Amino acid sequence: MTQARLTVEDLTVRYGALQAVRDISATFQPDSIVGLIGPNGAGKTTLLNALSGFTDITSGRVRLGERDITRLSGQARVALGIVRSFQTVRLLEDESVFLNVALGCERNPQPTVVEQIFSLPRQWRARRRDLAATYQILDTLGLSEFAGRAVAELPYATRRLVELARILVVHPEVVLLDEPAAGSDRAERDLMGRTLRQLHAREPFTMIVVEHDVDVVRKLCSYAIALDSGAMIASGEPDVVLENDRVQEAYFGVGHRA
Amino acid sequence: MPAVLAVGSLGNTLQVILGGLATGGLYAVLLLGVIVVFQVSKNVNFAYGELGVIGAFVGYVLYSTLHWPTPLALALGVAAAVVLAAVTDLTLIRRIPDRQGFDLVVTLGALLLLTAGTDVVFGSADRQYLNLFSDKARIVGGVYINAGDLLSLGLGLVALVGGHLIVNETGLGVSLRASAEDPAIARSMGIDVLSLRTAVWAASGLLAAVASMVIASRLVLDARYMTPVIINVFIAGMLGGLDRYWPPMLAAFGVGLYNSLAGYIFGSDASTPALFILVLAVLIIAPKRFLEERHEARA
Amino acid sequence: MRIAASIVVMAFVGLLPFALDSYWVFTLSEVMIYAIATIGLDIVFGRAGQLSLAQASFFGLGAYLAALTTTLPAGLQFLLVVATAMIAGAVVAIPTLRLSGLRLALVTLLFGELFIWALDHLGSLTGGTQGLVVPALAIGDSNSQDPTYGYMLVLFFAVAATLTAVQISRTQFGRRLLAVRDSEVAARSVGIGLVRTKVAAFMLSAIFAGVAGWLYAHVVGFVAPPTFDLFPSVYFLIAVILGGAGRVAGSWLGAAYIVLIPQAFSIIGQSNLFPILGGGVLILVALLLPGGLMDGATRTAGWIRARYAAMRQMSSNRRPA
Ligand SMILES: Nc1ncnc2c1ncn2[C@@H]1O[C@H](COP(=O)(O)OP(=O)(O)OP(=O)(O)O)[C@@H](O)[C@H]1O
Ligand SMILES: [Mg+2]
Repeated sequence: MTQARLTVEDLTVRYGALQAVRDISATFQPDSIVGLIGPNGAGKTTLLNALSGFTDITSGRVRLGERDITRLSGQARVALGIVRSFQTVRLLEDESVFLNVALGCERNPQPTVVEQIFSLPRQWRARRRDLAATYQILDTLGLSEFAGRAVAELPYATRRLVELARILVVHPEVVLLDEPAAGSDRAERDLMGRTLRQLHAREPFTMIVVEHDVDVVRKLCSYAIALDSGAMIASGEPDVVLENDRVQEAYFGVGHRA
Repeated sequence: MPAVLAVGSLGNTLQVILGGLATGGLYAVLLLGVIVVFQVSKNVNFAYGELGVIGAFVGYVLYSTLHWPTPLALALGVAAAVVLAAVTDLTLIRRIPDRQGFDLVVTLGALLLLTAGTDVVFGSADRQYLNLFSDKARIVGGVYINAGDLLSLGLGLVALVGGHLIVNETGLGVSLRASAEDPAIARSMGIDVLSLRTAVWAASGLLAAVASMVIASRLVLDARYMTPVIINVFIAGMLGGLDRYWPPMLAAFGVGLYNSLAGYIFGSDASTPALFILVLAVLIIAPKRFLEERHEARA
Repeated sequence: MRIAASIVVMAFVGLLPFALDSYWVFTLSEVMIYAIATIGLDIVFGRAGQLSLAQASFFGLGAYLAALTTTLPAGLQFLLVVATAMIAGAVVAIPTLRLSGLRLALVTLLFGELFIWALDHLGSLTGGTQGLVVPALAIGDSNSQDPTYGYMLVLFFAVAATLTAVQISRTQFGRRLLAVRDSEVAARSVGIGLVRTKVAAFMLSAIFAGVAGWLYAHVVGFVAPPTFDLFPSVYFLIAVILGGAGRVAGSWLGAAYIVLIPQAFSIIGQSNLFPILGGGVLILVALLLPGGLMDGATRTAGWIRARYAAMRQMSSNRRPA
């Protein structure tokens, strides 16, 4: 379904003296699943922030298809279908699962506030459309039984799924996931991996996943990029990247080098 | 400057400036209490000025009704405010739910409660407070210098320098910030966070009481006289930023001076709109970084 | 079922003024007027989380507009109030967009101070601290200061305000407000425009307050600055928090509290005790029931239901044995 290719050219993000992301160039093929790996502080989250408009880009470009989106606001990028999750889930904790997921319908064309308040016909249609989409994604992700529950009452792994549902409720172009299985146990990690694969197979989109779990990266991703200290140190087939010496070194230190 | 000169003589102008700086000095004393409380607990106390009012009232009742020696009466007034501030922390602030804005709501409630309570207990009549030197004056080089003004200015300078030494130059300042940033880490550093917070609140009560007594000696004593003062103090804190030190403290002097100059030039009626214009102007020109107060942890 | 219940309630409320004496009818009108303004504050504070201490100023704006435009037809007055309140809401919202917490509270408070200052200093227009007498608004063969007619007039707007607030909960706009309150990061990540949402919330809340003030002037017949200064703004805040942020029924409850309790105190001749109670209640509710009375009631009901179900379970388990 997706056609547009996401590319970054010489992307650098600087915080004061620190180069959190330095000179990264990469192409994310349409409908591919790309794993982003690297030790703590490597710049993975910062790269996602730069792609989603959550941080200022110091230099370089980001393109979606032919379009230069380097200077677009986060809001404008969401409108183009670039959506993201967060390393620590960001949900409205006191509100229901349903409401949190329906929030993602913001990407559907919404009637004006006046139409919404006076419940004019466009609002009826929009409401019907958004409710249907929300129930459908809740069903797909097995969240229906929690629809009326407050998010704060749910276990962490379930809240991750709620955040995922919020992203996927309207079909996205590019999905950026920041450690979607962090804080989950083995079984939950595998489940998250499988869920992502199924969702992607059903209605493809470009997916960039930050993930520390080697197995998940191997099974899920068609391509991998390794970062260390903000720089790209390897890219290619996941198996190859994971075996790469520099990647091993970055993760395990010199002593463990084979 | 020409506008000022057109209105009055150089002597008058100097006098207005001195008066403004004296007021600013009292603002600085009060603001120091707000800053340390904010730095240790990230809370702001809307009832802060009212603590001072109660201290001033207790002192007043002791010396004028019970005829106790003035220094003792004032000291006990200050002590009352200190205790009340500590009690506020112990009974209210520690229990505030972790929701944005609830510290403001709770202390607004305390403001209402204490103001109305003071009204009921002490009556709503205006009273003349002790003079605290404001009756002693001398004319130096055409400038009418009031000892009360000098006292206020002196207190302000002491607060400015003393606060700087405490907040920026001692381990205490580090402990304050550590407690606010991450209580768990602060605790592991051996800081007793809760006691430190209560102690800081108590200290803020002391500052509030001292400033309130001096202000009462310049105005009148009633249940509400500190409300406009405290609004100006908060404005200075807002302009400078409560998580910093020098900018807000200097802003306290600045607001005092600005107010008194605006009053001198446009009449005392003009102080509300003048202050409003100042705040709007700062809001419009201040850079974004300067205004961000509550950061959600970065993505 | 719900429709039938609504009809019964509406019939009851509609017939109420014929059963009560005019003092209580008038008092109920006041409750409804304050409910409209409280619902407005609930939109900007309860839902969007923007602590505003200017609600009484918007209320006053509507009231003084009513007092100054008595010669205009009612419909035109209403439109003028809505338009002015919208503009005023935007004027307060736009410079404060980047603020939150204390700074927002302070700047909105300053807007309130400025409003009172203007009332005091435009004496020839506003009557200064003396206030203004507002002639009754003619409605058919009666007028707004007739308790029953006034009640009906206010009831119409109160119902409209309530329905609007309920409808907002059902819309994406309503969800945007909550997202702005609870997590600006989450809001941005789904593409919500923070600026537009905050400004819209302020404008709506000002419209509610403005219309309430307009009704106040016509029903009460007199406007003066103390009704619109900082303390009433704090009372509106109390009403929202007491009832429960984000809940329309809570706003009604809160409004009833801030109108009826002071009356009760003045009936027993102790009107200066109300602020003490008000402050105490604000503290207690914020500390003990941060979701407000409505939330507390829902929880209690849930608890009772759970207990009841458990008891049923126990007795039904026992029976076969
Ligand atoms: N907004 C910011 N301001 C200043 N420094 C930042 C900011 N965001 C990230 N950094 C710094 O940039 C570096 C890279 O951080 P980033 O969060 O991108 O790492 P990461 O690869 O996601 O690490 P982790 O695996 O721990 O999530 C870190 O040193 C971090 O402290
Ligand atoms: Mg990260």
